[in-house]
This record gives sequence, structure tokens and C-alpha cells, in this order.
Amino acid sequence: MSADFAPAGQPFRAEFRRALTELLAAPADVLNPLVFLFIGVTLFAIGFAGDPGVLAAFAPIVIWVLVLLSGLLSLDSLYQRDLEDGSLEQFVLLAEPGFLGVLGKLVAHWLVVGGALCVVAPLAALSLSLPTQALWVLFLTLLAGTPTLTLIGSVGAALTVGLGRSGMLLALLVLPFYVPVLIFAASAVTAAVAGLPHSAGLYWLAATALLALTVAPFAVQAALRIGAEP
Amino acid sequence: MTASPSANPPHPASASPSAGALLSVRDYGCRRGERWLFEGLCLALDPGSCWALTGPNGCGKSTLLRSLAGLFQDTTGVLASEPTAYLGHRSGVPRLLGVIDGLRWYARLLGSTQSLSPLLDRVGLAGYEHARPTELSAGQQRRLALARLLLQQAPVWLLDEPYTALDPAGQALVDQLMTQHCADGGAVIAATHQPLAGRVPADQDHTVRAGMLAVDPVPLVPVP
Repeated sequence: MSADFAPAGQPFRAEFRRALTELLAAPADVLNPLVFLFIGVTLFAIGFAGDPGVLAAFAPIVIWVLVLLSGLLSLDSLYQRDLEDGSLEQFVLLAEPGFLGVLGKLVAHWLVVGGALCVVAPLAALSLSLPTQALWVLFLTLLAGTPTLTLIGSVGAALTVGLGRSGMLLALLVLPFYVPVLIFAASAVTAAVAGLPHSAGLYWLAATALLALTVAPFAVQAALRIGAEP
Repeated sequence: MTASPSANPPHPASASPSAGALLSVRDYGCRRGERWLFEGLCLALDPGSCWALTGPNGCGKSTLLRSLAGLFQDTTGVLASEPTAYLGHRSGVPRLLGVIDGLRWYARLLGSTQSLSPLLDRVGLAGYEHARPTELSAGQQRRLALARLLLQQAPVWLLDEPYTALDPAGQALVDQLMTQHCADGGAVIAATHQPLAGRVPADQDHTVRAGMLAVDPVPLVPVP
């Protein structure tokens, strides 16, 4: 094919920097999940107002379910814009190797959206009366769990890219695969609240993230090829 | 119909219908689900040739170009090609980035170190470096797409209605670019409703027949 191959890191860098610039240009992609998280937490706090003890017991699950759902809000537009302006078909044709380009975009997306959730969710958890000794563990589960959410979610976003307004379909497709993350994360935080060892859940979260990291970029690349066909 | 045994030849050059062609296909077909969009297609695009792909709306011009560019997975037959640059209906430049940032994204993706300002000059978009593509007019977006096309420096251009939305000066620019590209040893297939004769040298009129989408295979250019 081409006489002068691009260095293998080129698509990664190109997509990484593009994704960062786009998130700055469209801050709604970052802010919507955060606002959703805050509203959700507030609703639970109001609903359980009479019984802070019950609220504290449910806090790990509540906060993590809200994180799962709020992450979905930013995934809807992950590839939709690219399809509409035609850059998706050019990416599919030109990025070599494509999975590195996919990875570059996902890393940037996770750093911004996932990073914001990692910081904001523990703060929101305070208003759910989560004991302070569990806050650090909650932060760690977010750090280990949100990459999996981005990676699995991106496969769903790539698969539904040609289908127009597909937010609900995306949720139906992706949420079942989020179940392991919810189980490991909520169990780790619940264990920390009770003062029990919590490292097992964290290790499982990290292992899940590594598994997703090895599979998702290739799956996204394949799904985008199909999505870029008219 | 199944893929021919030579669908994945070890040496694409030896399997190409005519040596020296920049793009050649033989017994080429493209399928969506159960439906054949076209099949049995044979053509060879030599350096310096500039083809107009004409035919009524819906006869499959865009599909053929997209398929030759490599956007369809489900194909049969042999497709041997030098790198192609595809100009579709959409500009292909990310709409949230400024014009120059969008082109820089392409340059990074391609590993190209070409300087971008002369490209914008060439297509008449100097001064619009930091405008977003969505702020440009349809014709200016078309010019932006042309800048992207030049950036790719691919030997084969597959242009889908390159004259659309362009003013007379822009259409003359397209003629110039195609002429220059062919003079430099490249080749062009342009789907267009305007005959290229008189606009570009080395023009051959290759009409895509409406029957191409039918079940009967219609060879476009039989290879001797």
C-alpha cells in the first residue's frame, strides 16, 4: 500500500488530541453526566430524608447505579458526530492501525469524563451519609471501574452509531454488561463501610478493566467499519 | 455467488487485470445483505486517466465509489489498488474543530508533515483557519474537503459529485486540481452530472447503467 507508513503511534495521538479538543468545545458531554449524578443523588437524599441510617446502608449501591447511568449520557454522542460530519468514514479508511486510534479517543474520553466522575461521585456520596472511612475505597472503585464503563460503553456506542437517536437502545445494550462492575464495586464499598477487607472487589474491578481494555478497541474498530457503511 | 478463488492473491500486482493500472478490479461485486448492489464489474484505471462516472440518480455511482474506496466489507472478486482518497458528500472534517485543527487531525492520522496554510490558500480558504466547518457555507465546506483530499496525496481520487455547491471559480479549481493530478501520474474517477469533456484532458465518459443494480451483471469496462 502506502510507500511511507505512518509511525504506529500516530492514530493514537491524532485521536487523543482531537477528543480532548472536542470535549473542550462541547462541555455538555462532560457536564451532563455530572449534573445527572447530582440530581440523582439529591432525589435519593430527599426521598430517604426521614431515615439517614437506611440511606447510608444503600449509599454504595445508589451512587454506583447513578455512575453507571450518568456515564451512558456521554456515550451517546461518542461516534454520532463523527458519522454526521463524515470524519468517521475517513477515520475507518485512513487510521492504520485503527484500534490505536480508537484507544486514543477512549483514553481521552475516560480521562475527562471518567476523571470528573471519580472526583465528583465521592463528594456526592457525602450527601448520602456514606461513612467517611469508605470514601477512599469508593474513589478507588471508581478509578478501577470507570475505565470498564467507558470501554464497554464505547462498543455499544459504535454498534448503534448508524441508527440515529439511539440512546435508549444503547442503554439496553450496554447496561447488562455493566452488572459485574456494579457487583464488584458495590461489594467493595459495602465491605469498607462495615470495616471488612475490601481488596478482593478492587482486584476484580482492575481485572475486568484489563479484560475490557484488551477486547474493546478491536470490537469498536470492527463495529465502526460496519457503522460507516451507509 | 461465491468469492472467486483468487480473491486474496499473494501478490495483488500479479492478479491485477492489467499491469501498471493504479486501480483495477475483476469480477468485482458488492452485496448488502441478500441484495447484490452490483457484480461482475471489470475495470482498470491507468495513470493519467480521468473518468467521469455518469448516470441517473440512484443508479449506483456513489455506491461504486464508496465500495472502491473500501467502505464496504461484503465484496467478491479482485480489487487491487494504490492508496485511494475518497471525497464523499460530507466534508469529513470534524465539525467541532476549527478548519486548521481538523486538517491537522488528518495530517497526524496520516503521519504527514505537510504544512497546512498553503493548502488552504490553494482552495481559497485562507483567513478561515479558525472557523468551524459548520460556520462555512456549503461551497466553502466543499473547498475544505478538497484541501483534505490534497493533504492525503493519494494516487487515486474517488470523487463523488465534486462540483456540487461550488461557484464557477470553485468548479474551475476542481478542474485544475484534477488536471494537475492526472498530469502528475494520478488517476481520477469522478461521479458527476456534468460531462468532463472539455474541462479535463484525458476524459473518458463511463456511464453507469441503471441496470447495474439489477440482478444481471453488467461489466463496466470489459478487460481484453
